Amino acid sequence: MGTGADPITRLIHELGKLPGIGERTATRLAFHVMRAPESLAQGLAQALLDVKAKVRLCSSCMNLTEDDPCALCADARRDPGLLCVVATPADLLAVDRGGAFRGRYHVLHGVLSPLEGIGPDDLRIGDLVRRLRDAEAASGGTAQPIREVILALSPNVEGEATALYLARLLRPLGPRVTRIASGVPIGGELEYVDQVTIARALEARREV
Amino acid sequence: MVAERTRAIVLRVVHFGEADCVVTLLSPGRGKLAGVARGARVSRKRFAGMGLGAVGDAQVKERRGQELWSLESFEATRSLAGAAADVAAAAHCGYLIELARELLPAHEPEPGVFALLETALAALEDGPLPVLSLRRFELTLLGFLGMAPALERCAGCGSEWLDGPAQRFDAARGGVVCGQCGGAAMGLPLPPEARRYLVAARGGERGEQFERAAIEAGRDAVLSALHAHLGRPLKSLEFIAKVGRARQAE
Ligand SMILES: [Zn+2]
Ligand SMILES: [Zn+2]
Repeated sequence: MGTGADPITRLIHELGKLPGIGERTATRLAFHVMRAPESLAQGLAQALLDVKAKVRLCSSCMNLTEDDPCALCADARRDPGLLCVVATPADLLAVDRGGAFRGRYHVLHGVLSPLEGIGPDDLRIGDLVRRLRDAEAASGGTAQPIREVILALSPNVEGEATALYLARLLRPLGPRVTRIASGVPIGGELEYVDQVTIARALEARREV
Repeated sequence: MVAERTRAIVLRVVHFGEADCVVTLLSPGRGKLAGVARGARVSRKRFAGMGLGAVGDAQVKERRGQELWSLESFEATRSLAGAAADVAAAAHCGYLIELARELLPAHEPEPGVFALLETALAALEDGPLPVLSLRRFELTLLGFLGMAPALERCAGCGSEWLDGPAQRFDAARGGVVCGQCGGAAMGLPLPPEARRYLVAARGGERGEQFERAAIEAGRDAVLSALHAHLGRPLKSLEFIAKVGRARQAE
């Protein structure tokens, strides 16, 4: 569809590219925007542009942020010796919401997925390894200041495979590598798990 | 329509809206089918252990005039722990699932294929599959689909005098081709030992030891046959290659 199409058709087409939005929903949203006051369209358009212009990845934890380093990495009260690895920014929010975890994070932006063809180099795994190496170098190379890496990945085939891959890769770098307990139902997604369950799963974490 | 209970293997789970999933299943009596699992992303009780490659009991219901069925419940009867025992096993799990998902037509019951996949997934509990088992799975699956490559007679002239020089494997013509029928431009070379290796793999015979070159030529021949039927590369093979490269770089 070129830019030549009429504006309504173009808007429906663009909205339809969003996940979970089919043509019917896209049409409904487009007509809603049409009827709504000008300010809604302006606010929406500006927010969309801002999110691309201002939000980037934190150079340390790879979470989405406006400031680099992000607020979580800059927070001195958080224990830098504890690193929680999550698949997505949404999972980070889910773990942090409970307040039970007071360490730092690392966002992989996905999991290893045989069926999507997503391999290690498609994730922020290299950045994680670099982070551990840099931490050790900064300490004078005598000890690994990151004492423990907690893998908070969903317990499905992709999550399990990613956890095992990371454990094998990270353990030689010094930290203890643990996995949150599967209080999270098998095949469950972290994003949808309540705070109590996450706190309990963190509490009962085990060596991988 | 009433709900029916069936054994099922999960071939695909796609998020649908905020709370639902569209799940592709393989069942012995209904073949491959897709169903909407209402609330599967929020209520885990009715869909315990429903992940890729999970084997279990499902309740499915046909919806009149609709291609998508309704998946009422799913309960995994075997944990996924085995398939995720290591990255290679997970990769094999993905590969078996992708082959079944992409090659099988919808709504065509093939109990033999179900049993084949169930057995192969169970074997993953002990780690990645031996390459011979992978080749057996691929050849058996192609056989069930009526696409078995010819291995014991020339796909061109029908001659049983094989293993001469210049023998090749030509997926487009349906299997091994003798030196008279094949040309260097067509298909892949298939040395005599590679052909014998594939015959052994198809029959599940583990006795003979084969040279690495023969095993690789046999693998490439079967993959070319799969590729010819699918018409596009498999994601799981891309994954296996990427993991291999990452390991080498470590
Ligand atoms: Zn950060
Ligand atoms: Zn011939």
